[in-house]
Amino acid sequence: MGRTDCDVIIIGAGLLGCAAARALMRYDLRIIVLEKSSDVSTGISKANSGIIYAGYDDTPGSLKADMVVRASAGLPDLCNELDVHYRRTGSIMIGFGDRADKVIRGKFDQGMANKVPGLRLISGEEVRDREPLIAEGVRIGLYAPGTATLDPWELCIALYENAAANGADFRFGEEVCSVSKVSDGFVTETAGGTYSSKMIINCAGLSTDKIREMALAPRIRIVPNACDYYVFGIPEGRSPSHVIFHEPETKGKGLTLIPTVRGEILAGSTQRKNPETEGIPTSEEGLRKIMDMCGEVVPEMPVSPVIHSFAALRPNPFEVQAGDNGEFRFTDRRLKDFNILEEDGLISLMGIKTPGLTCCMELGEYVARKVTDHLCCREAVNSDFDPERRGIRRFSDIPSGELAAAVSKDPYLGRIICTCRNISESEIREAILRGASTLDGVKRRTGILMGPCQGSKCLQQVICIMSEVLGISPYQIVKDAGSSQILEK
Amino acid sequence: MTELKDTVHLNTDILVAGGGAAGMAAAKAASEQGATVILVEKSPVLGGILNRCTHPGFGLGYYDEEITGQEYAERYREELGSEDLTVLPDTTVIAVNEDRTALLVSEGRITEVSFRVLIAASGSYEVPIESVAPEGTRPAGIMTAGCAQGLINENHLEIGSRIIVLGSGNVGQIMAGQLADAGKEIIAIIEKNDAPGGLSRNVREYIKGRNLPLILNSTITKIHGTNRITGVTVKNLLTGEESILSCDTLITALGLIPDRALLDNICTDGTYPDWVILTGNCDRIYDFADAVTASGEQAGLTASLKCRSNK
Repeated sequence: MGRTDCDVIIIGAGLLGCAAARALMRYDLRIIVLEKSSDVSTGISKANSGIIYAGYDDTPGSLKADMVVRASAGLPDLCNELDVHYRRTGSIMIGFGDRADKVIRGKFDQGMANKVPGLRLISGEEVRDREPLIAEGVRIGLYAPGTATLDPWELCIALYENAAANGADFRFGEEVCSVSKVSDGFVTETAGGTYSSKMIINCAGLSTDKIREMALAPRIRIVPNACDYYVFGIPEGRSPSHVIFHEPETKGKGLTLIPTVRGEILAGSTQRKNPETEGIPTSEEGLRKIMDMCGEVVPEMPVSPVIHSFAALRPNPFEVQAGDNGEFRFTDRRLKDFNILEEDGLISLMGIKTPGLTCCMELGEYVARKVTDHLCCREAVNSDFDPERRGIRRFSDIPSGELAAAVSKDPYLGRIICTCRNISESEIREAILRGASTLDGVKRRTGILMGPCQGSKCLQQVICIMSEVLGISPYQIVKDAGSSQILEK
Repeated sequence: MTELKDTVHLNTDILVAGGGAAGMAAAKAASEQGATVILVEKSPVLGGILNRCTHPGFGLGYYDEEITGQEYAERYREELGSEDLTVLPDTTVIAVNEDRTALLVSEGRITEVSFRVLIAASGSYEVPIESVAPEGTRPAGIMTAGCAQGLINENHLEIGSRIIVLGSGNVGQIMAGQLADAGKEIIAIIEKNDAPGGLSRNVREYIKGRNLPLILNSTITKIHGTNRITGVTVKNLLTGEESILSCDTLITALGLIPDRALLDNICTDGTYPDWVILTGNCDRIYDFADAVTASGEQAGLTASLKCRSNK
């Protein structure tokens, strides 16, 4: 089998892998991204709250705190460059009692130390002026005007497309089975090939420990926990317009309400240990708790229709200690900060959780600086790098004055497939042309099957269009992975 | 295709949005009263969900004989053919505005229609699985009964072979019966109430006639499987007992919701202006197509009277 040479191998095409690839394409480097699944954004990046944090949650002086305020401020420009929907909602952290009051004042002090712009404590009255749905008795609020929301997979797909357009070589269906250190770098093997590179960027999400330990002794172990979310299709005016963080009176997670870029309300989040990592099931207990908390915190907000429910995984990093006899002991010491291990050309981004989405481009650029330092190639810039990417043109985004001209040029734009959200056949075709080969790939690129009817009106047509454009039998269409056929004989 | 870079403008007395049983009847009745009518249908052919109904049980009220849904649609299309009205197939109403205009889109063209009365005949959509929000995963192999019906009867595709149906309403029973006839294994029909839903003639014909396994007082609390669905946890709502049933397909038949997405712009607190008439399943959910036709005819008459009194 032939060996493919490159400067840097990136393992994993989630948010971090795609952001790192984009950041590295600013330099004159040959980059290959190895992804085990058939698409980007299929691991922990696909289920995420989508919150762009203002930056008061992170301990001053930490890498997180150092990145998050700058990253948050830079996101409007990034989203503009990449044509990604971004909604600046602002956020209010609310408390009803003594414990929450103390926590919130602590967050305020922390936020001031981190220089979070516009941050201020507000009275319970002002909380209810801004968000009349919040239950009576709210005592205090921490208002952060910079908090925003976006679709995590929309950003991930945009980073991928832009990195690929600038020359990053993405290879899907390539699960890494071995990594070995050689004198001038690394040899990485997958079932499909052998790659040699000067450096490796390990962005394998929940598998970053596994990948790293193919070449090095254990230092950090990733232990996921899961949280459940509901998506509500609540009409505007009957739901909050800010991101709401409820700080409860007992220790543990409170309610988070997130107005999405698509106009829904995402409600979470819970926390539970030892989840199954395949398929990420939701838990009845978690879903019930969200409903109970909604009743308590926003009693007048309707909690129907439920558009969707899902679970997300958080990759928690724990320290591993070396024992005397050469064995390694797994500890319960949880590492709070972003952990970026830089070990002789292998850079591992481990346990990057909140605010990982907010900081993804900062992290990508951080990695790019490490790479260019290691390879001494800071000067070798890629003069052809184009930071701009255009998204799939959405029918619903076209101003009414331009509709007639747009529709006359593109016949598929005139065929509305989703009447919940006015999504056209043109968008579905374009998603497939841009690389979506699965139903979830089409869904994440177009928003189809995500509206109130969840595809009951249009799944039939989507299957027919996919079969035609992909040139495959309807029985070969899968939801997201190898054997997830939508139809079976 | 002629390129039309500008919006086409049309005027009409009555705009009918949706060309299923209700919309066809409304358009026909209004046209017979002398009103000018534009009937807009998203699909290439009029008939709506009738076109995916290969089972009998239609027409006893309107045609005095029992025919299939497809035959019912075929006959009604012929009747409509002799009327003097404008039918716009392959066309979607994308917005309705307060100034009594509607924006329509079709291949290559945007049309703005000014009207006096709007008849909303956009039918219904099926209650998604999330209304039950079972815990667990959302693998492939879960779909609504109507979607399954369309794939099987319109596209001649198969959906799976070991099937659980959640909900024993009409569509659930009909699909279970049809799949059983096609040689598929119906593992269970799961119903939350203590008796099957739907029309008694359907219970006779499908559940009893085909001896389909019905589990009453129960619901699904968990979905299993990572790629394709492998089973569900069924909970007895009276005893709290849970058991796991394996399957490769879950069909949900949890009821229908009037589809009023096209009226979003003009809705205030759930009410609509007086120039909007809701009809058929867009108004409320009907059991019989014949009753939907009657509802549409009534809407057509009311609309034409409104036009006259406004002249």
